[in-house]
Amino acid sequence: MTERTRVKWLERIVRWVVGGLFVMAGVLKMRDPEAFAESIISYELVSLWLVNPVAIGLPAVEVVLGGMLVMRWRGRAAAFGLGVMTLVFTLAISQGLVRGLDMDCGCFGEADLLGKSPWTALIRDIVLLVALGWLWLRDYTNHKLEHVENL
Amino acid sequence: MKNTWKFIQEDILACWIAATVAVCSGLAWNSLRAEPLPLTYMPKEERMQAAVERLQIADVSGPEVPNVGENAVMEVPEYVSLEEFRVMAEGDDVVVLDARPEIFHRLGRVPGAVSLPREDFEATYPQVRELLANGRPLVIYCASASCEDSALLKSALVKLGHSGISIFKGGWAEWKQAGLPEEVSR
Repeated sequence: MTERTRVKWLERIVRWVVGGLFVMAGVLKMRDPEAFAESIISYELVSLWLVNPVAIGLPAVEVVLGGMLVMRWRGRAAAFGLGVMTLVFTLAISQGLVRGLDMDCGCFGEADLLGKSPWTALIRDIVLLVALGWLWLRDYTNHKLEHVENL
Repeated sequence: MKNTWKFIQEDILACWIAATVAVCSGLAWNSLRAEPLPLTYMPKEERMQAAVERLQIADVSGPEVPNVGENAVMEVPEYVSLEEFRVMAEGDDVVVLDARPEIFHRLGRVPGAVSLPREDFEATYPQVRELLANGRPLVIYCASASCEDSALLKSALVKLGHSGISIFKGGWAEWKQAGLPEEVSR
């Protein structure tokens, strides 16, 4: 297996894992939007009138963009969108930690199979951010090369 | 640099379209749920109070039962420890109530626990009322020591005339951490 094939496979696996995680997170939250609304409240960032619309809309966006990433349909855009979302989540958790808030991450619904601690969530988000950044850069470089070749 | 900005613009546009489709789908999905989440947020205490009032108006009291109203059961501690809860759960003298959402009850619960989710209280209460009112004390647990569902459920049940209610504060997290047996729905 050549170096290039190995990297291609790594990219595929990262895409499946990261996209799959977002789909799973979205589906779990869509099943229990009430619990997610309570999690949003615990961050003390969003006005009350926005809490329920965000609790309804955000999980669906995670599912759609996660699905796009897995299927590699507009994958670069999906990596970009999920990256921006993860950056916002990271900032939200960080401000909560600085302010000493008793936050409930709510990232994977009420069960939060991957840990409920805000520190776990922060580390997980940073790892996801790096992975999404790498995926976006890979797609960006490939598209740029194609663009140059077409000139 | 010009190309980079062009790519980012394309990505923003694609994300905007995908997000719009997703939000519309999310709203449609929510409206199809048995109990859609309203667009305006209401704190859980207020939601629970509203549910209790609707149940009182609907008068789901049914047949006369021992531990509701005047025929209340004996005094019980407000909170029970893991050890006390374990002994209670193993016997038949108390009714153990799981206040977590039904999906988590299915995934794993204290053996013999009855599901009475805080969030579906209004729909589930009439189905379990007779069981709760059979004269046995009630013990409620929810996800962990930080969840409020047990206390909210207890308060609602007291308002509906039940008594003899304890809370196992450690909840499912403490039970599971202690490696105690669990029951799963297949």
